Amino acid sequence: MLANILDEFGSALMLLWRSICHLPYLPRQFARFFDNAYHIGYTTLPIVGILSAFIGAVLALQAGYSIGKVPGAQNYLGSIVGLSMCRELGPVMTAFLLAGRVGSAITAELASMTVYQEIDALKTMNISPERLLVMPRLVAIAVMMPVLTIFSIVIGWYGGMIVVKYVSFIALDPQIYWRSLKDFVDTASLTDGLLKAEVFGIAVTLICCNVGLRTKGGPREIGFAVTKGVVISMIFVLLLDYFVTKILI
Amino acid sequence: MKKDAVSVEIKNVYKSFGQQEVLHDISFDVAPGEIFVLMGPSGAGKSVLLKNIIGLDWPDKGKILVNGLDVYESQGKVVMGLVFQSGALLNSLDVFDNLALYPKEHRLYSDADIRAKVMHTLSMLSLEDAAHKYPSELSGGMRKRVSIARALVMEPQLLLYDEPTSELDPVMSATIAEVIATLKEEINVTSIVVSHDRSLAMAVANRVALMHNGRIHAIDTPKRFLASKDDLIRDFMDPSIDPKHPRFREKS
Repeated sequence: MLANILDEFGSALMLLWRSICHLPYLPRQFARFFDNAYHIGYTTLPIVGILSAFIGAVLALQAGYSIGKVPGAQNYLGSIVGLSMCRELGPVMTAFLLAGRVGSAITAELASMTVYQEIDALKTMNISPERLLVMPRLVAIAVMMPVLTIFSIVIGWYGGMIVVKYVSFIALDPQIYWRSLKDFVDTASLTDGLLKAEVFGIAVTLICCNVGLRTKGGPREIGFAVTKGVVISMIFVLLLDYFVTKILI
Repeated sequence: MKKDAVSVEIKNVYKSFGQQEVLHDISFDVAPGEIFVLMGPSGAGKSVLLKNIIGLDWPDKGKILVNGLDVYESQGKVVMGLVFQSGALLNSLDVFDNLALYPKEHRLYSDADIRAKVMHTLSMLSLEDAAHKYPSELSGGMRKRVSIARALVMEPQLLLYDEPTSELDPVMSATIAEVIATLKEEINVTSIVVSHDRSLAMAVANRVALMHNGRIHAIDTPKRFLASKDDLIRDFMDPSIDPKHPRFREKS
């Protein structure tokens, strides 16, 4: 068990290193980078928007209900939603969504290419799978993850604002909400959130690529690989969340 | 452009997967420009040996030398192509891009030259009309020919074929056999063909080897193979079908 975990971990680190070594070839892989950036980023925006709006809204609703009995506490709802979305929920939920939507697709594609010997075919042509398939994805995620996370944070803030304005037992003036949010959310909060998102995005992509490329067997194993890739990614996001937060605080 | 064909030396190669020994003391040489056909029943270890020759897998013991160089050292110095049994075409690319991938990634020629070369190779195999089709739109025979074309674009010095005629009808099998024989003349390539197909072996081979249970049982010319009195060779080359005494019952 421990040997397997170490084996997977070592293999993912080696994959990262080999992909970094192929970074000078990025200009030649620009079309693949652009294609991945489009699929990872642009097509994920709507679902990130929906998810974040509801997370911000539910956060404001729960917080508004819980602190409603304390006089004046609702004036701080902006800071609660603002900081939670910025430092924690925005990056983590975007990473979870990425694992489910993009990570699963990456694992399925690479596992299928491995099982059907397309990866072997690339190797016989002396073309590194890392250069063609992994590096452009890692760069695409590194570029798109901050964009997705900022979008998630801002939409979450607006989701919270709608709730504080229109839910009768809160009914807070949006100006107070935004003022509280601005008072507490500083540049460091935003950069910390984006740094976390970047780490999560690269980890999810790397894990899913690694699991896909190490798939052995037949079509049945492609399904297992997808499940494995998504589950390991999500667990890793939570583990990294704790350690990165500990470093940043 | 013709490159020099290469020699292959297999020296005392062993390979096991877990407890199961797949290759046992395999040794033979293939001369430059020769067509060497490896035959044998399923599970004899033919495809594993092919993977070891091209460097997709490594022997547990023994040496494989291509032009005197270890397979690992020869990568980048000797151009080797493998025609996969399944074709192994990249499904996300159309036929043209599958063929253009190698020269593009290695920046061998200008875009115009790559285009001309790919189209010339496709025409050699009567595949011009399939240039912009995706692998999922091709028949089994076309996929095999595209796989051969992809290997040819690399201008290989050593070309390996894994069951090139499996799952093909007799006419298409004959076409593939003609392609293999013609390529030897046209591009001066050393070829190792793994196949069950006796007619393919007899038509194209300079020498034939029979593998059995991970061992080389015999190596000889096609003519001598056909005339052999050896039971195993005769049984493989001309199996008699006797429904009254089915061999799977005899074996069990």
